[in-house]
Amino acid sequence: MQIQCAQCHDHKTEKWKQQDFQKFAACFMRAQTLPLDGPMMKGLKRALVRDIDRPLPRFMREADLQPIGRAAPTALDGTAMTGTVRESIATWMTKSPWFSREAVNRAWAHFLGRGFVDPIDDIRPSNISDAPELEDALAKDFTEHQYDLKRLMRTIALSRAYGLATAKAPNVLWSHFRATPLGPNEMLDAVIDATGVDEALRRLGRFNVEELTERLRTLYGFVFDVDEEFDRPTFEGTITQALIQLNGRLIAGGSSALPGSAVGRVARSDMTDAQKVEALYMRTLSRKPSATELATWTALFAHPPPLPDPDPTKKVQRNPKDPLAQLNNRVPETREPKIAIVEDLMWTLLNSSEFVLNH
Amino acid sequence: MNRRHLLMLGAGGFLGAMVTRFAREARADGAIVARPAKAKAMILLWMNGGPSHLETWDPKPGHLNGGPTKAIRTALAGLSVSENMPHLAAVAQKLTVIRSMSSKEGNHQRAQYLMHTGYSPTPTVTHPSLGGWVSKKLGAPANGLPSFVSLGGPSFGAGFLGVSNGPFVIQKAGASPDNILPETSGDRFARRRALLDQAEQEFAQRSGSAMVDDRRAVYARAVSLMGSRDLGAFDVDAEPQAVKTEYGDTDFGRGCIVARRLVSSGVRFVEVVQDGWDTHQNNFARTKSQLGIVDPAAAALIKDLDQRGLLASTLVVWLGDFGRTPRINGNEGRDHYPQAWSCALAGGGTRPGLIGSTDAAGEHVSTPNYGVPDLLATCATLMGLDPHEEAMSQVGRPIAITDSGQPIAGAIT
Repeated sequence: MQIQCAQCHDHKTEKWKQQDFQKFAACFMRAQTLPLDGPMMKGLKRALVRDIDRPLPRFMREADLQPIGRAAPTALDGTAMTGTVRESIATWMTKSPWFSREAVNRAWAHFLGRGFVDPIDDIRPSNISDAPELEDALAKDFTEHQYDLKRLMRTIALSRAYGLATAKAPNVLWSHFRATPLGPNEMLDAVIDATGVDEALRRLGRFNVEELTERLRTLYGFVFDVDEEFDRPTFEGTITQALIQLNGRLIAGGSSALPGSAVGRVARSDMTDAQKVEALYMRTLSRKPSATELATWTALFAHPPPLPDPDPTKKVQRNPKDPLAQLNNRVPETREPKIAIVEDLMWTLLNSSEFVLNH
Repeated sequence: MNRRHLLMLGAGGFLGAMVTRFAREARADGAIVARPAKAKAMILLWMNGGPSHLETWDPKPGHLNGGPTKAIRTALAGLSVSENMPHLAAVAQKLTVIRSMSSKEGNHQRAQYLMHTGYSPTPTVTHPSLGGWVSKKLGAPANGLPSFVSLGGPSFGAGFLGVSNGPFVIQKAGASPDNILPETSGDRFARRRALLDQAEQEFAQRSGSAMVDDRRAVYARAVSLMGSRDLGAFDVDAEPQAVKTEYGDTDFGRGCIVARRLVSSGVRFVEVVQDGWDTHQNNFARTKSQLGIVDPAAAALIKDLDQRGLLASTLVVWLGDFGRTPRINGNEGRDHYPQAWSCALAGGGTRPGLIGSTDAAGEHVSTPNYGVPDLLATCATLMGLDPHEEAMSQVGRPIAITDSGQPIAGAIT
């Protein structure tokens, strides 16, 4: 829901008055966070949230906050907040008729690239749902099943709409799937799943894989931070993102024939060349290669180009922010031309739009 | 075909070179006059945290508020600056110093947003930073370098103009960008690229998704950067020791060298960040040590650009979050003070001189005073952009480059 217009004046097109904004905002000035730890503990900091019965004096000194601090905490439908405001607002919010529709809309938008209401946080009478009956039915089911998010996700994931493929035709009411870039977490999980790089790291030893994964999550979250609120027909990306996929240590490690990784196992297996290609397509794209694709890669396996001599002057990248930086010196580049083809195949698949876009 | 079409077609290319950029400027009588752009590039020296105006461009020796800070005369008539800025004082004849700047945002995040975008933050719209506008309107150079680079800090993105116009961020200036070299040797990268291209073409065909082409364009930009003949512009290794010494052996000094190298190579907007100006405690010692870093580097940059004949076409701007409270607090510090602050400009068609003043206490700015939108409108105009030009935001409301800013007439030649 968007009420921010009413921060400075009564809303011009919706019913919200500036007072509605102030009274609602007042609900959030009745709690205080007190840090319990000084320095950061493993990226987490404990804090105590304490309920207070009046706003903190330092907020009341700020002219912008005074009218909010003086307003009586009230929910948007006029319900007065009593007792502990935090509890009161949480109860009101989950009892609100908007609650389930909002949750359902966000989940639908997350999986299908566009919410029933778009942008997803703009639920209001004059921004009509594209499919109100469906949205209501999902919301009803969500409410009736104790707000079970897993059930909601399962329902959406098993729907025909989610199962459709992208197509060139104009998209009317999810008649085709909208290609959507994977978010940072999905992307990282997909790369780790497809490559088995975590298993390879475990075997190399001296890596705390869980800690590394969390650090990678932070890095990916930072580099691939995307605004999910709007349905965008275009792909928006940065050079930094492309570079981390092209040359970053995670993709490089995931497409190296490390013992224990998918590439390592496939490359050193007794599969035929065609089976190797198929195995990696299945792992990354969950489909078999087309005849053309198979022909391209088996031809390379049949006549692998000779590998260049290792370049002694090649600069080692020093990027202290990359959690896998130490992997660099640990693993020499392969000298076997056929293994190199398996690596190239994995690299190509991981960098492909088919892998990176949910389609 | 109008000017905009020409610009879009020719961004960075052959046509771009033929078209002189013009900014329209409204005169008092309402007539619109076209003026050619003076600046091809802008370097923002960003003083993160809010530098005290009284310890930099507007010292008040002799007043209680002035504290122990002494003033020195400069090469610019009428301008005295902190004694800790001898290098900038010596190049002051090149500077436009504005002492009557005033704004309303006293919180770091909000003030930094305002200074970069010309707007106070609102929940509905993410405004583009000036760097984002410059990137969008002037395009990337043909040599593969990005149009907008930030050294030592995240800067601010291009908001609704899209992340492709946002800053290319280098955390530690002086070394190559992260992940710029392929992990494989010889021609393996080229081989992989060719195979990837083939896969992308097939998927674009099959899926019909325009996103594939957009994504390929981003990849192409990354690969051009990897192979750019001017990639060395990010590196300071090739600089003579004398140059490195003059700028100073600091991250900010190296940032200023890289900024000069980048604008020489066609980059349009470079931000160099010096953090550490939030001097609530121990203001005098800390501003002195900050200036020990910033003063030699900024002065060396201006001199260097001038000697290379680049200053006329490069706008350098020294700016921070806000000023600081003229009254010294109990911790020998100064707190946030947006009501009065100073900024400095050089090159790019600026008119050297001192503009405006504060009262003896450093608390109130003289009339006329200027806001952030006016400052950014000045920069936009010098860069050949029309400060009132609008683009459609994601909420369907057109937003101009600045929030009704008027170019500061005295700052422009």
